Amino acid sequence: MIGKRDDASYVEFVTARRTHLRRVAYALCGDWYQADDLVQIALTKLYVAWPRVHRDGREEAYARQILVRSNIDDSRRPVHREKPGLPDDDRPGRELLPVEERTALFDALQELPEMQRKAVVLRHWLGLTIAETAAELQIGEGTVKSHTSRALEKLQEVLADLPS
Amino acid sequence: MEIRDEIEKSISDGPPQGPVLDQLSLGKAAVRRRRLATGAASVAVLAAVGGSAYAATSLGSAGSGEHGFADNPTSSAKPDGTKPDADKTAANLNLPVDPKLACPGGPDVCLPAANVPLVAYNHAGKLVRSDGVEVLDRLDGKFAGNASKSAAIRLQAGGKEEWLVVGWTRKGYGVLVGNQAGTTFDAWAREWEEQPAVLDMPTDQIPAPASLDSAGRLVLPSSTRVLRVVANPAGVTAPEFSLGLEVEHDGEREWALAEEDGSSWDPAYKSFATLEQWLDDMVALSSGGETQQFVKFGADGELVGMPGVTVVEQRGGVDVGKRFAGPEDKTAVAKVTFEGETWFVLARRIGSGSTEFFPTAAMAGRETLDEFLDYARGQYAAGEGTR
Repeated sequence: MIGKRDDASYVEFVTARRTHLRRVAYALCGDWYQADDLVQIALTKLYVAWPRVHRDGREEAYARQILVRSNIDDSRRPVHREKPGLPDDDRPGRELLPVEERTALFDALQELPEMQRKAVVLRHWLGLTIAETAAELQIGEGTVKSHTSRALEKLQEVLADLPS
Repeated sequence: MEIRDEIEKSISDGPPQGPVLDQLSLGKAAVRRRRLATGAASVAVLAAVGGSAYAATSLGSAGSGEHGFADNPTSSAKPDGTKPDADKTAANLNLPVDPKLACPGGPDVCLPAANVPLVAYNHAGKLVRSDGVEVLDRLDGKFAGNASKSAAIRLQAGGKEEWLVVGWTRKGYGVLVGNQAGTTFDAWAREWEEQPAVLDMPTDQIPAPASLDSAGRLVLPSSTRVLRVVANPAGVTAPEFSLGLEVEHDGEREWALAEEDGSSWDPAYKSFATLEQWLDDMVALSSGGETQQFVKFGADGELVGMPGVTVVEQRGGVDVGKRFAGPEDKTAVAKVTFEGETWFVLARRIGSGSTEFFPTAAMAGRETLDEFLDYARGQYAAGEGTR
């Protein structure tokens, strides 16, 4: 009982939006390996749900929700549990990615508590409204305001210290 | 400089990525696995109970008292590191019967027999069984990777023996499993215990308000309250199954269609006036059938009603936002009546593609074309769409 799959539209979406989703994932987790894993999981789940999600025009929101609602801090633990939905993932071992020069702001973003980091990424980078951010994170609007307020305070401190 | 610009500047495009087709093949593999899982197993399970009191229950703590599940030890290993033993004491096997497994919405809101869970953790945090189920064996352990507690159960129901793994997480999610020929129950359970990640549960990814396990039995998150049940809305025959539900989930009323390959759900009354209308549309979507469209484009480019449909009002070239259609795409909206009910239909043709129609039932707050268009713009701006 799976509806007709439109692989062409899926590939088109992935081609157009994968880099953006990967950057969102990287902003959330601060590691390109984990960002790739997160995006892979999100896009795999998106494919499974594609007939419904595509017809509803919710492709990006659906993929982003999976990224945002993933337990980033849990995945930061040294021992990763196997990713749900990909038990037979047998990709060959990955080569080390080049070390990236990270900015002080990005480091400060990564040092924020998880929900503050997610809130500021959604609200102040992706431009979601307070209500949308609250819905995406499944928290109250007041909590979004307090998270982003505290987070911005810390980030502004970093920005103030940067040479102009 | 704006904080948005600073963040944007601080994040590059990263190292090179693999080909997109790799992602497509992973997606296809996931769909295949899903089909295989539903086709091979004879069971699954569980769920319930939420709340911080239970969320705090950790693996390995048998606990005691009201929230300690003294009757349901959940440790994944004994303090000395050895695997837990089967507890076949009469008290442990004699699970109480919970009528809410069969009638989750009260005495008048009952499930078809085929959709009734055999055992589950109920809302009081205890393993319970349905009437007529006899528990033969029970192993408490870590059978599901991210479950706070889980148990392997051997039971008999309807003259048939079944092996299940029931699991519970803070989100209250279930796990699937099935009987395996050529092994013993203990050996089968231990196999799952040695690879618990196989049964990992998606705790964070948009949990469905209701779903069916691989045997067609209802799985409910802890935050779901069942209000109505519609038996087999897809009209399938065994071994396929489907179930329609109206539920309250995290405080929101939602409609859900649970099928063997997954669930679909929407806020109630989002686009349809009744659960049955919504189910008809979802069944058509999931089966690749034709959905209700009410109108079509005539030769002159105007929308004309399908048989029995009266077009009350229409406009062409409507702007519902870039997520609906671009300025070069063909769009229209119509207010129509059909069998005494009023609907709005958005139509779009993207480029040279086929025309799509999106019907939405009229209701309080969206009774005029302008009110409906305001609603539709908001829905598309939010990335939700109208269906």
